[in-house]
Amino acid sequence: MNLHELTVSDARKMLDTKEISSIELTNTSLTRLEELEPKLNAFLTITRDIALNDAKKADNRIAKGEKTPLLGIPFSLKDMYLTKGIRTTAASKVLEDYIPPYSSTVFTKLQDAGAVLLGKNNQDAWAHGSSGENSDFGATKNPWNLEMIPGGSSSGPAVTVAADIAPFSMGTDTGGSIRQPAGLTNTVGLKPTYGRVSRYGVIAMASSFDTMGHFTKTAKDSAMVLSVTAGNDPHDATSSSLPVEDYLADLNKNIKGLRIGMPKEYFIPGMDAQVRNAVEKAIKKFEELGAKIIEISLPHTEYAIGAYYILQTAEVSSNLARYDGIRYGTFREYFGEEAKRRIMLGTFTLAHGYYDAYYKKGMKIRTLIKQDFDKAFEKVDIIAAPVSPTTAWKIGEKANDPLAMYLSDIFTVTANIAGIPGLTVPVEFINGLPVGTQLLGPHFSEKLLFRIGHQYELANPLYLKRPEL
Amino acid sequence: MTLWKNKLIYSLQSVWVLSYNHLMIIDISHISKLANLPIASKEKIKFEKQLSAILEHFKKLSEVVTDNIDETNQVTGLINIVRPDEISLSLPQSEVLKNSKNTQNDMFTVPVILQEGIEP
Repeated sequence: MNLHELTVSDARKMLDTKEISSIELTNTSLTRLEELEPKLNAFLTITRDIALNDAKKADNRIAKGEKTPLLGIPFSLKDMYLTKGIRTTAASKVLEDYIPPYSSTVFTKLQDAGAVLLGKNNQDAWAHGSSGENSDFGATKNPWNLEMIPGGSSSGPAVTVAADIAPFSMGTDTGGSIRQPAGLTNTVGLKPTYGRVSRYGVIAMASSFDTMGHFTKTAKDSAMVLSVTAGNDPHDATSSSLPVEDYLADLNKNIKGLRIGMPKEYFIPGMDAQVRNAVEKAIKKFEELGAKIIEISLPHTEYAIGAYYILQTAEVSSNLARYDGIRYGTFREYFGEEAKRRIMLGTFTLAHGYYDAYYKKGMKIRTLIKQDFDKAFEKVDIIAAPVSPTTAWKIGEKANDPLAMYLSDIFTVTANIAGIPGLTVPVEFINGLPVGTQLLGPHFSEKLLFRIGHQYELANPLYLKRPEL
Repeated sequence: MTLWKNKLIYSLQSVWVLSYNHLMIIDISHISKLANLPIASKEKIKFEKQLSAILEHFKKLSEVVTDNIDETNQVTGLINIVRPDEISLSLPQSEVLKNSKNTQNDMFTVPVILQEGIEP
C-alpha cells in the first residue's frame, strides 16, 4: 500500500508500531501535494517547513510512548481557520495579506494533539458557495474529473482527502459546505451538532448555523478526528458543555433493528434520477443490514431554502460589516461578487420596513423546520437522504446563476437550520462521478451516525476506489 | 444537467409566484449605502436583476401560516452564558496593529467622519 493512501486509523497503527515515522508520512503528503497542486488548485498556502518541524516533534512524542489518535498525522485546514503567524484569507482578496495574531481553538487542539499541518485550503470566498468557484484565487478541480467542480464551499479540504494528499482535513458547514463536497468527491464528511465543536477563531459566516467539521476517508477516521476537536470552549459561549463521548465505542455494533427514516420530501421529481436510484439503493443496503426503513415526512422542507437564505444572508451582512480595512484587510470594494450579493441581500431583509416580512418570517419557519425534525425523531433513530440533487457539475455551468447555485443546497440547509448533525457517506459512482448519502440524527447523535456509517462501509467500501491523477 | 436545473427551478418556482404578481425591485444604490459597500454602476443592473429574482423566491414563505409560531434564532437552548469575571491577558498593542495598513502614533488611522468648522 502507498503511504499517501493510508487512512487515519491505518497510519495510527503504523506510527505506533514504528513501521513508519511522521516525517516519512509528512514528506509523502507534501510531495503529493506539490505534484498535484497545479492540477487541483486545492491550496492557498503550503506550510512545508512548519509541517516538517511538527512531524519531527510528533516523532519524538511517539518515541516517548505517547498514544493519541492524531499524533503525527498530516492534515489541512480550510482557510477559514485562524492560524497564528500563518496567512489566513477566507479565499478573499480582502484578507489576502492577513496574518492572524491568534489561533482558532480547533487548530490549537489539533496542534496540541500532534497533528501536522500541511497548509491552508482553497474554498469559496467567505464560505459562500456550493462549487468552490467563488474563490478569489481560482476554482478547485474535482480529482474524479478535472473539468468538474468538487462542491463547496469546503472545496479544497474535500479534494485534499479525495486526492489522497492527507487522510483528513477540516472544513466548515453552514448550509452543507462539508456534506455536499464530501458527496461529490467520494469522501466522508461530518457536520457536527451545532455547538459540539468550538467556532472560536474561525472566520464567521452565519454564526447561528456555522459548524466546524471534517473530511476523512472512513467513518472510523471521522470518529477519531471528532474525539480531538469536540468539546466545550470558554471562548465560544454557544459551545456545548455536554461531555465528549467515546465515538469509537459502538462502531462494531451491527445496525439490526435501528429505525431509519426516509423523508419523502427529499426524493423529488426535479432531482437527477440516477442519484435518486443510488440513494435508494444505499437505503436498501441499510435494510439488508437489518435496519427498519420507515417513510417519514418533513413537511416544511420546501421552505428551507427560502428561510435559510434570508437568515444566513442577514447574519453574513452583519458578520462581514467588520471588514472595513481599518484594523486589517483591504477596503470593502475588494469583496467578490457573491459576498456583495449576500451583504446586500442581508442588509435589505434586515432593513426597516422589510424585517417582519423576511427576517422574522424566516425565524418562524426555522421553528417549524426544527419541529419537523423533532417529530420525525420520535419515530426514527436517524434519517437517510440524498445530499446533492446531482453529481458534480461542469466548472462554469452555474457560475452566472446565483439562484440555481442556491437551489443546489436544497437537501443540506435543513440540518443547519435545526442544528442537527449529518454524516455524508459515499454510496455509488455514476459515469465516474461519486454520489453520497447523508445520515441525519438528533442533536449530539454523532456516535450513532459513525456506527451506521462504519457498518455501511464494511458492506460497500467505496473509499478503496481512487481517482486517476 | 441544464435539464434537471430547469425542472427543479420550475417545480419550486411554479408555486412561489402565485401570491404576488408584482416583482419586488431592490434599490441597489440605497442598500449599498446602508451596507457601506461600493458598487460600480455597471454592476448595479446585474445585482438588481439577480437579487430581485432571489426575493421572488422568498415570497414562497408567505404560503406558510406562522401567526402563532415562535421565532427561533438559535438552536442550542442555552441562555445567558457568562465567563467568570477574571482579568486575562489581551494581545499586545504591537500585535493588534500589525495587520493594519494605516497606523500613526501606535493607533489606527480611520477615515475622517467629523469636519472642521462644523459643530457636532
